[in-house]
Amino acid sequence: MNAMLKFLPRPRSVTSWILVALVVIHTVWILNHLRLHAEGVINPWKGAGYGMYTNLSPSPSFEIFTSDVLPVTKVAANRPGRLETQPLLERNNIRNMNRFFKCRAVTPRYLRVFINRNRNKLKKYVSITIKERTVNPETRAMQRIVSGNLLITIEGGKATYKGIMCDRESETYTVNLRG
Amino acid sequence: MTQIITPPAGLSPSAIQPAVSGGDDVSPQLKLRLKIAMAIAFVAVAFEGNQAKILTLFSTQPGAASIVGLEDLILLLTGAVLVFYDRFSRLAIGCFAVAIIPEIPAFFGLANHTLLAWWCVLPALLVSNWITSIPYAVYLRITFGLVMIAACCQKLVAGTYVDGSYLYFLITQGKTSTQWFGFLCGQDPAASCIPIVAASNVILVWQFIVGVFLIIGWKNILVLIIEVGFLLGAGLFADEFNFQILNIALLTIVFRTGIPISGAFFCLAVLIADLWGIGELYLMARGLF
Repeated sequence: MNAMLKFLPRPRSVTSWILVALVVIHTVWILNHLRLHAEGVINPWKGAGYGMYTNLSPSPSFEIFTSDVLPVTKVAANRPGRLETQPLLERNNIRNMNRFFKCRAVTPRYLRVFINRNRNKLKKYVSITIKERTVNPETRAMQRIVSGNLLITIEGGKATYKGIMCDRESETYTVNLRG
Repeated sequence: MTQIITPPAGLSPSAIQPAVSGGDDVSPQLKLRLKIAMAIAFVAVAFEGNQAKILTLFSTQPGAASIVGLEDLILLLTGAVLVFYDRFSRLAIGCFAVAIIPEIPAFFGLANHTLLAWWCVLPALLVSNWITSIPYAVYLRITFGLVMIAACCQKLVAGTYVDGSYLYFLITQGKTSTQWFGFLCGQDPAASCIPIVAASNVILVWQFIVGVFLIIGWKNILVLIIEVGFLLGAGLFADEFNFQILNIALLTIVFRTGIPISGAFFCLAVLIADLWGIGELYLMARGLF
C-alpha cells in the first residue's frame, strides 16, 4: 500500500497538513459543485467547479408584466415599458451573486430595490418570468428556457410574493417597501 | 532532499520524473523560468479582473483614462515584479493575497479561472520559498490534477458537450474566432458534425488522463507540450486566451519546467492582445487593409 501511494509523500509538518486540508476542502467543494450542476441549480461557469465551456452561461433575463387585476396576462397592454431590472440580478448579494444559485427566489432585499426603483411603472400585481440561456441539444441553437416565475402583490406599502423556481414552489415573502 | 529514480531499460531519462520534485537543488536557470511562470500567472489574473479598466487607459476620449479602481492591478503587477527577488518571494504572494481581498465577497460571481489562481497561488504563502518547497510542489500538482478531472466530469454532467451541441452552437453562432472553425461542420443543424464530436471527446478523455497522470506524479514533458497545444487551440477557438495563459503558466510550474524568456514575451503579447480579443483585432486589421 505504501509503495502504491509513493506519489503522495507523508505530510511531516503543519504546513503540509494545512495543504492536505486545502486539497480535501477543494475536492469536497468540487464534488458539491458537480452535484449542484447535475441538479441544474447553479451557473456552471462560476464558483470554482470548472464547468466553463460546457454550456452557455445562463445570463438570466426577465419578462415582466403588470396589471391591476388577476390573472396578469402576457399581453402588450400589461407591459410596463423599460424597467430597471439590475437589482433582480442580485449583483451585490454575497450569497447569490449574479444569481449563481439560479433556482433561488429573488431575495426580499433586492426585490424591494427593484420595486422602489420602478414604483411608478408597476401596478398592483406584477408577474416576473425568469429565463436563462441554454443550447438545445436537438436544434443545436440557443434557446431561452423558463427557470422561474414570481407573482408579486403590491398593496399598502408592502409587497408579498411567491414563486415557482425550477419547478419548485418557493415560500411566500413579505417586503416592507418603506423600510 | 532529492528523490533519485533510475528509468527502467528502454525508457529515456526524460520520460520519467520523480513524483515529488522541488527541493533546494533547483538550477538558477530553472529558478528563473519558474519565477517567470509565476509572474505570468500574476499578470494573467491582473488582466482578467481589470480588462475594461485597462482598455480605458488606451481610450482616445479625453478624460476616459483613469487609474482609479486599478489598485488590485497595481498590486498584482508589483507582485509579478517581486516574484523575481528571492528575499521578496513571500511578499510577492502577499501582494496577490491583498489584491484579492476585495474580491472575496464576490466568490460566487467570479469566473472559474480566477478561483483556480486563488487555489494555486495563495497556498504558496504558507511556505518560505515556493520554488524549493516540496509540499507546495506536491500540492500544486495534485490540485491541478484534481481540476483537470473536475473539468472532465463537468463536461460529462453538462450533457451538451459530449454530443458536440455546445461546440456546434459556438461554431455556427459564436464569436468571430469560433466561426473560423466553421469549415469543420456543415450549416445543416440536423447533420452530425463528426469532427467536432470527435475532437470534444478526445479533449475530454485527454483531460481525464492528464488529471490522473498529475495526481500519480507522472510528469512527461510530451504531456505538457500536447496540453499547451490544446490550451492554445482552445484559446484561439473561444477567443479567450487569458485563462489559457494562466493555465500554461501554472502547468509549467507543476511540470517544473517554467517558462523561458522568449515564452514570456509570447505570453505577454497574447495577454495584451486578449484585452481586445483576437477576433476583434482581426476585424480591426481587416478594416485597416
